[in-house]
Amino acid sequence: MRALAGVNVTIHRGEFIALVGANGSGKSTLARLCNGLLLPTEGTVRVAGRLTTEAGALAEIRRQVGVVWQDPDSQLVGATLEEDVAFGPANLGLAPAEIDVRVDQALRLVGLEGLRGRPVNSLSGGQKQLLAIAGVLAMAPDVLILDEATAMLHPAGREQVLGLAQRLALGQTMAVVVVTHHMDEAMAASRVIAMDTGRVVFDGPPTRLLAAGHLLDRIGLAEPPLVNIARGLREAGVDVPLIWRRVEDLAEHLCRLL
Amino acid sequence: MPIVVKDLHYTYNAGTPWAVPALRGVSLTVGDGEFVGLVGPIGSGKSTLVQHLNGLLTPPPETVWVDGIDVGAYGVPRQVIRQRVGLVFQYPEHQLFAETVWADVAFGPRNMGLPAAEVAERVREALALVGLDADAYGDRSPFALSGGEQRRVALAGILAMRPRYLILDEPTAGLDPAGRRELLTLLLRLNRERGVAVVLVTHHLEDVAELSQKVVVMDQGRVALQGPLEQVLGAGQRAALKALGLEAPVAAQLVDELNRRGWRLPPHLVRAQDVVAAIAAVARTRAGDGGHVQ
Repeated sequence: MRALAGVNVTIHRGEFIALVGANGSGKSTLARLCNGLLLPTEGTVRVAGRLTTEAGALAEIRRQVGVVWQDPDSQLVGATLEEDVAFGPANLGLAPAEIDVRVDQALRLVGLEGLRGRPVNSLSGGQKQLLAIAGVLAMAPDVLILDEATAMLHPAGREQVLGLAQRLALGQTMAVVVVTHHMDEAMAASRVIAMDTGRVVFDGPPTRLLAAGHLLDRIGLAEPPLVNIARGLREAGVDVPLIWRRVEDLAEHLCRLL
Repeated sequence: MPIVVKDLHYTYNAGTPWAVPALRGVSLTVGDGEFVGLVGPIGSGKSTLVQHLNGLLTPPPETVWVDGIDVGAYGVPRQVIRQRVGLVFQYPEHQLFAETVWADVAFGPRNMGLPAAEVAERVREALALVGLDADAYGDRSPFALSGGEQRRVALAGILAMRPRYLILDEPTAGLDPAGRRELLTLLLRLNRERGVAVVLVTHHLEDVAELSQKVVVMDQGRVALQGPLEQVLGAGQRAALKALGLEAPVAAQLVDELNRRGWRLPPHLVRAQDVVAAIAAVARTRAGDGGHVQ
């Protein structure tokens, strides 16, 4: 079964990328290829210059490219938060003092530093996902991939995780890739890569993808509700721009217009 | 006849140090053929509540009635309730078990003791409802299907029992927008064309706004808000919803923002197309006024 067909993509530190597409479009396959969980059957994947197929390269590549999956419970290993975050750095063979610093930093980054000694099973779904991200951050990755990591979360939890993703990308020390089929999540990204049946069908800023006529519809995605309303208004003869991220801004605009 | 819930309480691990009250006096009604949106934060008791509605958790006597039958009364067979109230769990495809799609969907009606011909008719009908051709899919293993197809097979297994009430716990989780639209369209059809009452448990208030007639908002084991869609999710409710960690539908938010800026749109508008129409009407009036002044 051919999951990807001729994908060419390069990503850089500091980029905040949304990788979007319907189920079965190949976006998760691409994510798995990036950290060597899958190896290409044709073509190549390089992380910082090294091929994922190179003998002995995988351990380092998996440290460089950290992936957080959809289900938080399936990727947590510790009984307490600090134990869980320490698992990765301990496996890198770091000294206990260094592990301690990493755990501290990672929990601080995701905002869970106050719960360090708490049992993992006392956390909410959103907090568990933040903890899973902390576990990856403690490995000091160059790329953080969140593969539908907000799918099982409530709106508040989603906002928490996406806000963190954006801040991490802004820090310029890593690239953050959010794999999603929610276009409202993609609106916050600096770059959107859209996939359909194993191919990249769009690569550019989110506003351009939304403006690209019926492309979203064709690849099985839906535009954000606010953009949908703006489109409805335009079709009803109210001349407003198509792309809005905040309800307040569209309201302001309508007040000035009418 | 409706589903009626009256002052229902439920505590997990009751009588132990780990007791967690999950429901603390819930009362509500799901009317015949109604489409109800059941929303609320994680841990608010939504899933615990719906498990009482088909007898998966046994309610105390005189707290839950389905079509007049007291679900918790001694001696009421569970099947009687479960044939009327179909409960579709989160990720229902995890419950597929049979070797073929046909056998999986037929399991429910067979257990009802129906004759083979009737079972076959129901399986065909249920698969057709979810958009799967019985001849093409019947002999296939459910485990060889895509995730979206598996979910539809699981739903068909419930529909084959021809429930009068269909309760779905986060049925669109993990589906892409196209799959989500497809499923919600199916629910709407079942509701409008066949009169099946639907209770949709979700945290997508946008979906609730598009589909429901009635909305129940739960918080900490209690019903926090309950009423017609327009009343519960309308512009005036934005702050109350926010306090519960819920975002009002975007269309209602827009009405709220415009009215705060001096507009006078009806505060009960929650559907995108209605809000668009209302704004377009304002635009036409203002354009008319402008022409008059000049």
